[in-house]
Amino acid sequence: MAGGWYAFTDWTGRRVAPNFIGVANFVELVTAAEAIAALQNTVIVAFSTTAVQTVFGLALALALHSTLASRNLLRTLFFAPALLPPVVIGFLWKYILTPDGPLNDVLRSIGLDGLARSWLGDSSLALGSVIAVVVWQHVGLTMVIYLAGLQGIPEELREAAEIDGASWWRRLWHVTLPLLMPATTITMSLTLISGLKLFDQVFVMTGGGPGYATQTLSLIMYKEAFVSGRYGYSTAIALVLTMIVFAFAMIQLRALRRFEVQP
Amino acid sequence: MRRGWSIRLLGAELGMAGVAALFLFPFYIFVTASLKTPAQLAASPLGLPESFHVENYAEAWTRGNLGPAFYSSLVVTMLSVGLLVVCGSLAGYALTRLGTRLSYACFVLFLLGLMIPLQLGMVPLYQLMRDANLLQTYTSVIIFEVGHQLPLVVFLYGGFIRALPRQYEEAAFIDGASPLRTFRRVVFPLLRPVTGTVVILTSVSIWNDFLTPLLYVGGSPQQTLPVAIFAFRGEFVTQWQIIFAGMAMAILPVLIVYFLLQKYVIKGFASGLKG
Amino acid sequence: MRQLVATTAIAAVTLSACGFVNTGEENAGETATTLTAYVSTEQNVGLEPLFQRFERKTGTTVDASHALVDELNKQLRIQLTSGTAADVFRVSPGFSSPVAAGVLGKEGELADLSDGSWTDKLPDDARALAESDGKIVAFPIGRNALVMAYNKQLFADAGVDVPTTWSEFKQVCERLKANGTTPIATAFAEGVALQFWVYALASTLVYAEDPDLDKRMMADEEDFVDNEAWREVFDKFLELRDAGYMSPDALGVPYEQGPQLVATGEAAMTLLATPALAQLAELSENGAEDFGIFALPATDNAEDTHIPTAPDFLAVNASAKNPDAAKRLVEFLAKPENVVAYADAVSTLPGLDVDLETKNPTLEPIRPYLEEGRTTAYANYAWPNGDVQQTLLQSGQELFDGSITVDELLARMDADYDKGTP
Repeated sequence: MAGGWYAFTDWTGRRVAPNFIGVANFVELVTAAEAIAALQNTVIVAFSTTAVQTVFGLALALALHSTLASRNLLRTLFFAPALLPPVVIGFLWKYILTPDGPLNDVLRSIGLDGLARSWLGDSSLALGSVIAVVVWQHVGLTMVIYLAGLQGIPEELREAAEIDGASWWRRLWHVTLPLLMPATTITMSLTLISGLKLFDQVFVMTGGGPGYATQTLSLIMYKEAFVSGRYGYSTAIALVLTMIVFAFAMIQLRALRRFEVQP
Repeated sequence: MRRGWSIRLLGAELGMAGVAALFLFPFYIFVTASLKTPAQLAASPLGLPESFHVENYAEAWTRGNLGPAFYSSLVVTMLSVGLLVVCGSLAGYALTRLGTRLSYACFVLFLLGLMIPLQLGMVPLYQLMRDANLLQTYTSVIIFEVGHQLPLVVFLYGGFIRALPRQYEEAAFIDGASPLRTFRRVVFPLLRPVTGTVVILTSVSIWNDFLTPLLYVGGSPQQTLPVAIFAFRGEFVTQWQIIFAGMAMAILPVLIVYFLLQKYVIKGFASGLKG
Repeated sequence: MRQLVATTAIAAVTLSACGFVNTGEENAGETATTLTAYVSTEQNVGLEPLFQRFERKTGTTVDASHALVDELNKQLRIQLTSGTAADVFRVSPGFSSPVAAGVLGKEGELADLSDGSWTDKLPDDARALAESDGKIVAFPIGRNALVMAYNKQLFADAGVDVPTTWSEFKQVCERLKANGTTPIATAFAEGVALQFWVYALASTLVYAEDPDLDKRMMADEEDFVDNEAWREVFDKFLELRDAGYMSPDALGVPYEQGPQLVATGEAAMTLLATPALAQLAELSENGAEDFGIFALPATDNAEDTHIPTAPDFLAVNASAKNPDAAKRLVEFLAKPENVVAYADAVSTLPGLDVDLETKNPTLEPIRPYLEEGRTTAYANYAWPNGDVQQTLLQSGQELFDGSITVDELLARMDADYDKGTP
């Protein structure tokens, strides 16, 4: 890609030819306080969405891989948000999470006034709120992948374990989970990659604020290019982000593949 | 024993109803907000609208000029997805079955494409489209979407094909069929599950894509639905209810198709990913 | 073979008819009578009828598209670089974005409009921002001001009048608070409204007193950190926060809700840019009658008060395909009746000093300020890049929630200021 070259220049997106400035952009990236905070946030977002979404997705899948009468309906419902544009989801939740918005209204009406918060306006809560929304949107995806995995587990295995007198937890831990490892690999890689690249939801909901509390790498990449007009620096951030995504994805894939067993 | 089961089942049902409420609540807010007047919305964000203010939808439809945008989105999505299925399945087949070092390198290259952020190529790509005199046309968006989604599609097809037994193809070869014919008659039908996944995944993300269509066809008669909707979001004058009405119309087709075909969507989605 | 040619021909015709390829005529043949324009969504509300009138009068087709300022800035930069920009487009004032008049003017991307018949009617603060290297490169289609809008009913309930000095303003807040309403709706979620407070206070405290400050700062003779007036701006802002006059949880309230809170009577006042007055009117039952506006005082002498204004610019592409038609369009828009029509349509102030009166009674209270020249430009337009403003937006929120001090904020703004114009 021709774009990569700009990372080593001071190009501002104009018709004047860019100057080669070596690795200055990369030096700035690892020294500027804003970029370091963004890097930190990006990693936090990626890891917590991956962890939370995997756990909840698995729980939902286990609950719906059952005899519940409503299981088909619920499956449909939980998967629906994953099909909608992230920008729409961002707008919707931004409205819901305002201090006088629907969520706090609900909390107040059931007597939980103490829990009503400025969800996106409090710098200690904002990142958590963003993560919650991202998980809300994509947990159905994880659930569906796990459901498919569960359907692939032969019934006899489960029955055998039951006859051996293994408790539900033991069966889950020793039989089901190991057999679900391929599904775990897929869902965790997908979530981690999209978590590292997260843009739309944060952009709409907080724009990186309050202060720099929810600033992510993809957000400063955008701002440097289109607000400050520093395409060269922005491209350097993009390159670094790509390398981080690649490195994490490879490490994770290796690590997870080790636990996979074939049924 | 039996009794214990049904109580536990009831508990589970109730628990899941709670989770379901968590998912339904935002949709409830979305729909009711889109039907309120600004004053109603400000006074009570939570309640049902006193009267159904359907004008919001009419206003969003005319102000956003959503009719042509619908058509544009449909054209772009259908053609892109069609091309992706054809190119992706062929490429995935070739790259996994050739088994040479070069084909493996190509496959990794495609994987790398999966991870590169869009912004990296935005400006050079735009200039490429300009030089080809394709700005403001469907073609530019379709070319972009196909290029953008191809790595994922090849990845999905590749994974699936690798797990496919070779016997069928070999039988066809022995019968003297050409590779292309073998692919069309024998392999492609076997790929149906993963094709379902590909169609669902790509059509949703192409239908929802915003940034690139904005750049390529923004402001032209060829603009797509998300671009049209966000064009009437104002810097000073933002009205939640109109935005919600416009968004509702943009996501409605996706939701309708999804609810009608939900069984196939969910099944198709997951089956391709199992590989 | 013949069949193939026929199929190809049919395919080509179909493709060009359906928007798959650009046909030749569109790009070459019609340029003599077609003009392209790219404006902001807000501008479009007022410009659309004017463009139509221009088309009827001159026979020149105006092919206008519009987008939000953010999107427009982003696209326009790429379009200019790629040579695909429209003939007429919106530019930001000063150096406040990569597509600001000052930035593009220096690069030679904008046509010289100095010989326009309207240039003598440019208001002073707009003129300073419209010039680049001594040439006028931008035309103010409208002029926005930052004003306090208040809910008349709540003021009456609390028995208070419009304040004219800083002390009176604080008394009004105190009375409103005692009466059980939030005195000031502060919707700081995006930082947009927060910067308005800074510009409004700085207009009176900094620029009215010291109009040359920007020149000295540009020459690196002075910084934010050691400027007492700038410190006072933030001290006074925090004074209001500490007294509990602002919305609780202000950092979580999206910008759109500022007017809404005043409309529903949950808060009594809000600081906003004039185009938002239309929204305020739309949100309330009796429309514009429910609200009044006044200029935010910042000192105890009512005569000191100034209001910040911002020209809303259009500019002509230096490499416009049809420069003459573009300039004719600007001349047309600069006619007094059209200037006023635009101002009324978007509920803002006329971009030029024209004799015609606007029909908007809401704006009446600030007319004296305009007539007496008691206006300054928004502070950020004089800053050398968009980063200073960006830092104000984000670090300003940190100042508001107490995680940094005024000194730290000013030092950060200095650091960005020193980066200069990219």
